[in-house]
Amino acid sequence: MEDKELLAKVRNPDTTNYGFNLLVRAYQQRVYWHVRKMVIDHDDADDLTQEIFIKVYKSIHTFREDSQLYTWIYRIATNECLSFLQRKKRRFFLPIGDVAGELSSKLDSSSHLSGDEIHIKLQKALLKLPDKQRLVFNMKYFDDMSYEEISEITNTSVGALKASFHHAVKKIEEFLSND
Amino acid sequence: MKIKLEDISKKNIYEVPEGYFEKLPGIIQARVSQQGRGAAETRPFFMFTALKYAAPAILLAIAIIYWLKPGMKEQSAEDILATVETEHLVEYLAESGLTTDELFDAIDFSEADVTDIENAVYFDFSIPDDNSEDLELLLEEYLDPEDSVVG
Repeated sequence: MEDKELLAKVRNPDTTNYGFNLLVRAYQQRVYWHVRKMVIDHDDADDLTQEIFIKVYKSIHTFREDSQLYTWIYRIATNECLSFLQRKKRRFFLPIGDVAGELSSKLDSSSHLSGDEIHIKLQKALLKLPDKQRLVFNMKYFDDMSYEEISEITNTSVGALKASFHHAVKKIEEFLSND
Repeated sequence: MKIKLEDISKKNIYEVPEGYFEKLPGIIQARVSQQGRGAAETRPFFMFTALKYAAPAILLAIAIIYWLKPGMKEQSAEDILATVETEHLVEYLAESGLTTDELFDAIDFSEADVTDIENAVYFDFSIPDDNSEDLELLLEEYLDPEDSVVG
């Protein structure tokens, strides 16, 4: 179903619940995986994904359709991820390194993981990056999004995004080669 | 050995519990419905709670502005009273229940104040011309000993 149709169903009081259900089914996996790659833990990703869609439901009337629906939802998801990670750091008075260490240990202990050693190493390397840089890297590398789409979501210039991704790749390769 | 990112396959190492994405829309829908019902009930509570925290914050802000605003502390009571309309002051005094004696006891008159008051009462008071005939009649009534009421 096209985004316009989905939005029309959600905004129609007679079909709001049905329309919203369709919206969730259309975007849940993309939102979940975007979040999961950032927070690592399934339970955290599950909580956040639910919160994100509740926010989408509450603010759908403010969506002006000046961007793609998916871009708008992705923007909410991105902000929620960053807020979650900030709260995590503040709650335990952890500096950046310790939060990365905590997330890294989840990679070692989680039952919801499968992959070769190199892939787990890659995820650990990503945790060394600042949150925003990690986000950009995930969107470009794993989600194959264009710089223009990422620019719309993060409100960052395409040039800055290209530089950020380039540096991220260099740091990751260095970590993988030296570790 | 130098590892290049392009040599690593893009594999998703994360997994989800079985049936997770089938159940998720229902869970979210239930939460949305619950929140919709609860929002109406909790709104007055939220407003009360917000007011409870907002009121002290507002008072504190006013106190800070008062102390930080230059010149405000230097205003005397007279300066502040000067900004109030005389008729409002009179109204307030009338409603306050204070007697004239109590008011005069409370006021610290200077010599200049006394002179000003006397001048206003005895010399600034003027009778309109059209009332002068009535006044003359009154004066004759009270000053003539033959017409005195006191026996």
